[in-house]
Amino acid sequence: MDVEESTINLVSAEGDSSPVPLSVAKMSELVRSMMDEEAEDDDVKEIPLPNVKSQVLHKVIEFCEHHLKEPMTEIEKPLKSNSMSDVVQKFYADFVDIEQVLLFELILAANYMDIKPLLDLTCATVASMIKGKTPEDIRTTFNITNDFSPEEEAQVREENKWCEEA
Amino acid sequence: MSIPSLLADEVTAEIFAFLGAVDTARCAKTCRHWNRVSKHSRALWRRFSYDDFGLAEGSDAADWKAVYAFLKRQERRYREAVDDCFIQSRLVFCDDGSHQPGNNPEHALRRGGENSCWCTNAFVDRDVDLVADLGEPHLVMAFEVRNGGVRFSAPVKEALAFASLQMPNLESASVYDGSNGIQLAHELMKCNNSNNSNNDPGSPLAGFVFPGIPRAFNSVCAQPAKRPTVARFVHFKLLTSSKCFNRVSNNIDVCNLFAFGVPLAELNALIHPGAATTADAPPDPSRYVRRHKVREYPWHIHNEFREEEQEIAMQEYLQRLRDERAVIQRLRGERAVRIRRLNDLNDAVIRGAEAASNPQVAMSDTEDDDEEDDDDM
Repeated sequence: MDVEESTINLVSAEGDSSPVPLSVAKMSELVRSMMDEEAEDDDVKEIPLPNVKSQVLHKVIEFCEHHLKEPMTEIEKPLKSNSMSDVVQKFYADFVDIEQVLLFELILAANYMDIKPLLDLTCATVASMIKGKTPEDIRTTFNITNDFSPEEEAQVREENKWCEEA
Repeated sequence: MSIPSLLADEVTAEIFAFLGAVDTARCAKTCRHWNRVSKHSRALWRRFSYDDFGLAEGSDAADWKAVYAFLKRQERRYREAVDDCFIQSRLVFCDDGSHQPGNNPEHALRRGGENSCWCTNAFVDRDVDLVADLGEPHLVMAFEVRNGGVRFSAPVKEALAFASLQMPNLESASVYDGSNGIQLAHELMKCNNSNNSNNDPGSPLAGFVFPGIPRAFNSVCAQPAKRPTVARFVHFKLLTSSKCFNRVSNNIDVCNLFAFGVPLAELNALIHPGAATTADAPPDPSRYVRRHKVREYPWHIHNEFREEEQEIAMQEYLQRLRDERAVIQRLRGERAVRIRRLNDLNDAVIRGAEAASNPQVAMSDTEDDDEEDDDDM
């Protein structure tokens, strides 16, 4: 890696500043475009990320750093397995073996910072938690409340009847 | 409030894309939010229609979830059908270098012709394409290739089947010619209908591998398409044929090239809502380039080997031998007589010539004799 590579500070919602090599930070399309806009001004060394908490930002940086060393295998759609370790390298499978709340915060951060491979990984992880389950099981897994009225529910069941007939 | 409800619709759709159609439909049943995302994400269901049914055509205005549900119902209709869902097809193009007279390619497409085959021209024995029109869009579910009986001396060995909504592009399918296609045919046979990652619209849907002679005769190979496919055209590629070494076997003979599935008459209205459904123009095969030159069938090679003619040929041959032997014997006899005469003549001539050219010798001989006689005396 380039010894003289400059770093940039990513500032989390709490105001914590994390110094990150440019190549790592630029995996985020958001950061990249912000830097391009202010390309004239070489002194811009801080990118505020008010939507990302420190804990999440550290995870994001960990992902980006590793991705530069060992790029993640592209995940096939639809998912072929319920286990992420069948789909991506061990580091990435371990990376998303985390609490649901943090997982969803990572999705939000990946979407906000526009980091495609991280969004793919986290979305695929959620998908792997859904795959093969019944609607009732899915509700339990993600603590979803059934907010359909009885009429709506009957209609939805009718509309999606085909999926249980296969 | 649950965590998933915090996600933006496009992120939720991204999760659904990893799930595939059936699990997405299950998610739609869990809550209003996910039902709304599932319902309104046209791109998602368009993608599922492509992934699961090879449907690459249609307008953005279409209700793709309805299209998908429709196709799923048709798939079920096929699986529950009482009959075998044979699809009648018409020949569009076939690159056989002109077929053997009497063994037209149409034979391979029609039912009930178990005793007739399609025979390619002599020396056209690899990579022969045939395109057939199903008349209207169908959900193609399976294919069947059948070899003819023992009198068809060059049964198919390996073949591939394709299906498409548009007229197939034979030029791009030519990557499956030769060893590539043969390898793929074997792979498709081994893992039929499993997770074959090659989901390109132009890739083959089924492969056929036949045993060698004599088991190849009358053998049938029926294969499910690796995924149900929306198609109006089927394309068979005959890769190679088995060879009979004691007979003329320099082409490809095939009895049946069949597709099975269900018609999708309502599909056009679903994928092109509002558009007037015009009668589809008849397919134009003129854009196809032949790779096997059209030639007249060389009957002289073939005739001697046709079974019904073989016996006659053999009798004729034996008679010819007999006739020839008689002639030879007669000639021998005549020659013997002639030779004897010639020899006699020769002797006579030699004697005469000797006598004429050398009378002294003859005389001295007599004299010697005389002398001897005298000596003896």
